[in-house]
Amino acid sequence: MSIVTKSIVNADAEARYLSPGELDRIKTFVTSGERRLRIAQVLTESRERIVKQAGDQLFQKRPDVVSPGGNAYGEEMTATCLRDMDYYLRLITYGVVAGDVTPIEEIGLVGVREMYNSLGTPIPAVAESVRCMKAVASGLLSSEDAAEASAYFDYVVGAMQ
Amino acid sequence: MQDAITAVINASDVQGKYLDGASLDKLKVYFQTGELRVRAATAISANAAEIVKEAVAKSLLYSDITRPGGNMYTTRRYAACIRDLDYYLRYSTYAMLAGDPSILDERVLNGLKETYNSLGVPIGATVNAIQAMKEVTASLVGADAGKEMGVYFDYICSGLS
Repeated sequence: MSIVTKSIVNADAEARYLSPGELDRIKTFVTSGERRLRIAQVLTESRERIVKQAGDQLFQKRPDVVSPGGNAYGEEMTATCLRDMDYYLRLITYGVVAGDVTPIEEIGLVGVREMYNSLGTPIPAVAESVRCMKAVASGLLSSEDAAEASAYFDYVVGAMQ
Repeated sequence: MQDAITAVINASDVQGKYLDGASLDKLKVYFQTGELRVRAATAISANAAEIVKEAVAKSLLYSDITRPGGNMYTTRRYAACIRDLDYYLRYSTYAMLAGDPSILDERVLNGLKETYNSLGVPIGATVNAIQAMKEVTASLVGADAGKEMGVYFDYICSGLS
């Protein structure tokens, strides 16, 4: 869902047109479209760098995960960990353009605890990796754009806490 | 339902892809037309009853359909007819705002033709009335927004035929 779909679904549940407030919010959203696309583009173009640097930061902070017995130990497991980080970065770009967290939630957060628990992956480490991606990404964006993007990184982190 | 944004997101996510150039272009077009859509939705919601009234006057009121034996004869059937036109106007407005027709498939057209056939509602007259709403709406919201609304009025008509 985006903010547009969400407003329409709410209005339809009451068999009414969108209220002036709802239309105003959509207007604000579409007016911010150019900025949203710019953010998504920067994150997309820099995805390898963001994931790589954030991965390095994560493994410094949590050396246990890449040590023997750790969940990201071994080349294959480390690659899987970085792949998951890339997934979350991708979902964050979806959230930014939709102006709504629903795409992130529906694709990557519903059931996430159960999944990582079953895989034996420490969820706090995953959350930390997203925090690291936010730090790297913020350095690539203007402060205004970084503030916008941060909300979506924070949402993922919050959902994993 | 989808909108122009979630349609692009869903199509990318199925392939595990970031938003590519073509996707970003589609989003850009939607964002650029966003204010026009909001303005049109505002005008339509403020004039919905008037649009229906004028469209009925143009297409149905002075024809046999409102005389004894016609499908709009009896006040109850007349009221049901304008209620349905109200629905089509509201849902077309939702779809125009979303930039995507999926809500029409899901919430209007699914089973509509079968329902009308079993109730003996004439499809041809319904289509005429929807086309009249298209004209009335275009004269209210202007050529550009009128053309966009026309896409969704036509979508309902072809779904009925």
